[in-house]
Amino acid sequence: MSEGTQPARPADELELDTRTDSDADFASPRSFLTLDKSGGASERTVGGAASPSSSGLGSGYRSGEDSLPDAQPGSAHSLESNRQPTGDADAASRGQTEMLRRALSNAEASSSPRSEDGRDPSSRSWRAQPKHVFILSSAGKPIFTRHGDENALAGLMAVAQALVSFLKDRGDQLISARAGKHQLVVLERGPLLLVAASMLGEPIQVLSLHLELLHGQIVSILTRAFERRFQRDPGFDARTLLGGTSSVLKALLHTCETDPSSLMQAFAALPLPAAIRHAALVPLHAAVKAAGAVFGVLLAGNLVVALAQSRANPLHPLDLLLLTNFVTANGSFRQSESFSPVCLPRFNSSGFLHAYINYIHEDADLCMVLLAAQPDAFFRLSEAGQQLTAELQAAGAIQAVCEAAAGQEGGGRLRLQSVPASAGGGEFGQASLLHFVYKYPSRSQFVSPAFHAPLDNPSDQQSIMQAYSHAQAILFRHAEDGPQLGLPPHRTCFERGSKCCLLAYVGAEYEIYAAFHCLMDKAAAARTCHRLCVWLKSRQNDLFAAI
Amino acid sequence: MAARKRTLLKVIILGDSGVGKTSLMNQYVNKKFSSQYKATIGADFLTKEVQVEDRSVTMQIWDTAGQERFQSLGVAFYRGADCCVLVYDVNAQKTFENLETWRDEFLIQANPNDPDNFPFVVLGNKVDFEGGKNRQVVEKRAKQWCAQKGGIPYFETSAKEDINVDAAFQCIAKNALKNETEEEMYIPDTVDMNAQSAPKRRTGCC
Repeated sequence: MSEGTQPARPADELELDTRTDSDADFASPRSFLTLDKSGGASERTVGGAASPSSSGLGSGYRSGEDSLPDAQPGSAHSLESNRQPTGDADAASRGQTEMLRRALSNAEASSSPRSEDGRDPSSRSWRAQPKHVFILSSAGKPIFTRHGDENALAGLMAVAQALVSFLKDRGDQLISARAGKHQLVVLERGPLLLVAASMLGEPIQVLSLHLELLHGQIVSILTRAFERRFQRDPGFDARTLLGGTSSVLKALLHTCETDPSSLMQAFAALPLPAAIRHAALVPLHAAVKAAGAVFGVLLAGNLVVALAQSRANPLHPLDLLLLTNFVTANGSFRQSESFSPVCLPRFNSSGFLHAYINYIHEDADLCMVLLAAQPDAFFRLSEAGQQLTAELQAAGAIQAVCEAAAGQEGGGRLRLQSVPASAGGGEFGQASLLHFVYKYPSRSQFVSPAFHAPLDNPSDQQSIMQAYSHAQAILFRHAEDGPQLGLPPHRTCFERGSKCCLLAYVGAEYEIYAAFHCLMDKAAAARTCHRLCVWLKSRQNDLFAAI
Repeated sequence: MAARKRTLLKVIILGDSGVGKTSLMNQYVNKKFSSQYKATIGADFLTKEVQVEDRSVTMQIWDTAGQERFQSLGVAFYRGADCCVLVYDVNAQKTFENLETWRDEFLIQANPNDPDNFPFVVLGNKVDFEGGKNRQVVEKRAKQWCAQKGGIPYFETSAKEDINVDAAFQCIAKNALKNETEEEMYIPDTVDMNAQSAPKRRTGCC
């Protein structure tokens, strides 16, 4: 996060106070909007150990309901700024602040029911969506919305652009804002503005990371060359280049919420006997070498079977996440062997690689992805791919992967039932663990069981993910100040929430985030967690891919 | 399968305060008129779907405040506009004279690629007022100015009586579409592996 962009001013925080007669909504905040601006955002605490669950997120913010005088319905009013009036300049400033407030109330007005074609953005169901994500251009033109139709939200997008540029014109930067139940986070990347408005209670850093990844996915589709288009024509409609890719962006957001890979910045391998994985890795390496490719990946769904990369150019786990999502979210790749340009933003954001994508086995979702730097590499890659398939077949690896991945819930992920009872596992009703994530940083990997009963519905799964993200935010609170060297000052975190008890521990070789039933005793949780780590370590060679 | 091309037009409405910018927009989008004057603060944003020939187009209308103190929004507001609507009050000479300033201001701030051919539309509003008795700008004069500026389309409107409002906005959409840049090929580079040096070892993320 950049700081120091603003001149010294008495007030760091602009609090906007608006009230309307509608339901609390980020576009029409009933209560309070606190703008965290550059430099100010890091001051927010995440509620410390007292806020284990999503419910704790509200702490630290005032609710407007109890601090506002009665208002005329529909009228926005009572504007506060900490700044001292200093004559004319301040009159202008007040005018601008008023314009901001007004813009917010107008956003509500502009999304009031009037759409005649059933894409009403103000519909109750649209408003009830727990998390909205928008992408717009710096001209305020809509590019993407997670829910609804982006054209119908053009008014709201314009407001978002106005909010951002309002602060930018004063040499400042909008990073996040709180409006009623919604946490807003804004990320500006070149000519794109990405906005998240979430009621799920993620820490600001997590929402920023999701937006960062979303931007990365756009770059993976277009490279950053599209920015030149905007330089020539700021009114450029980026949807002409992104046509048909909204499902990829939506799939990424879904993954961010239900899969630990973005939060852990690591990937998950398909649990496999080490000998089988080796039998897959050797021909994969050979294929990459024979075809002059840069990377090769074997995927079973979104789990990695084997990964071939060079020491000089390791594949960043977030690039792998974007690549995996790009492949799995495009149904058309299943139809036949395909060749598609794709950019890996952390590897090189200015140019394409060319991906050969071929599904070897439908049922197991077993797919090979070979990436080369030559646009004419298809036939070479295809030939190497056929050789690879034949060798995998001969070694029995396809059969083994199918057995590991196919027909199992979670696509072959570890199951809690197969974890010993002493380590918190067992059948439903016996297991004290609800779920866990075990990260092995030196291999950029993690292992995590499939979600199952009682975590059957997505909102329960999301709250477990929220608990992980809060524990991580607490443990690595200072990590964003610079490269993280050594262990964080606090290595253990135990939080009791309404949905689960969470124990997180950062060791020298691993990190563990373990979610237990909410009545679990702290000491028992620590003992179980320790045994779990010992058990996982003993199975390390099967659970993690060699890289 | 080619996705149906959907067009969004950013339309900026400019003019002195009180000439009826917001009223025109409200009449057009909401079919409503209020004779009570409420100053726009900063900007209003409304959207409207229109059919232009066989195309479905969404207009994103940026209704700005006429008062000078809000003009500081500048570049951010005008950036990437597809059409600019200049509004004056036919019963107030000064508002007509200021069109020149508004046009110049827009061209400076928005900095369009081809300023001479950027689509403007001029609206002379409040033609209904007192039956036209107090009219200060005659139609001929306004048309003359529009012709001088490269043939800007001109409409005489009344937001109150809903005169010419739809026709004016239809013309706005049509002209904005004309300004569409042609689609060019999008061919980014391929990574050059020879230039791709081994990245320096870094710890942490991002």
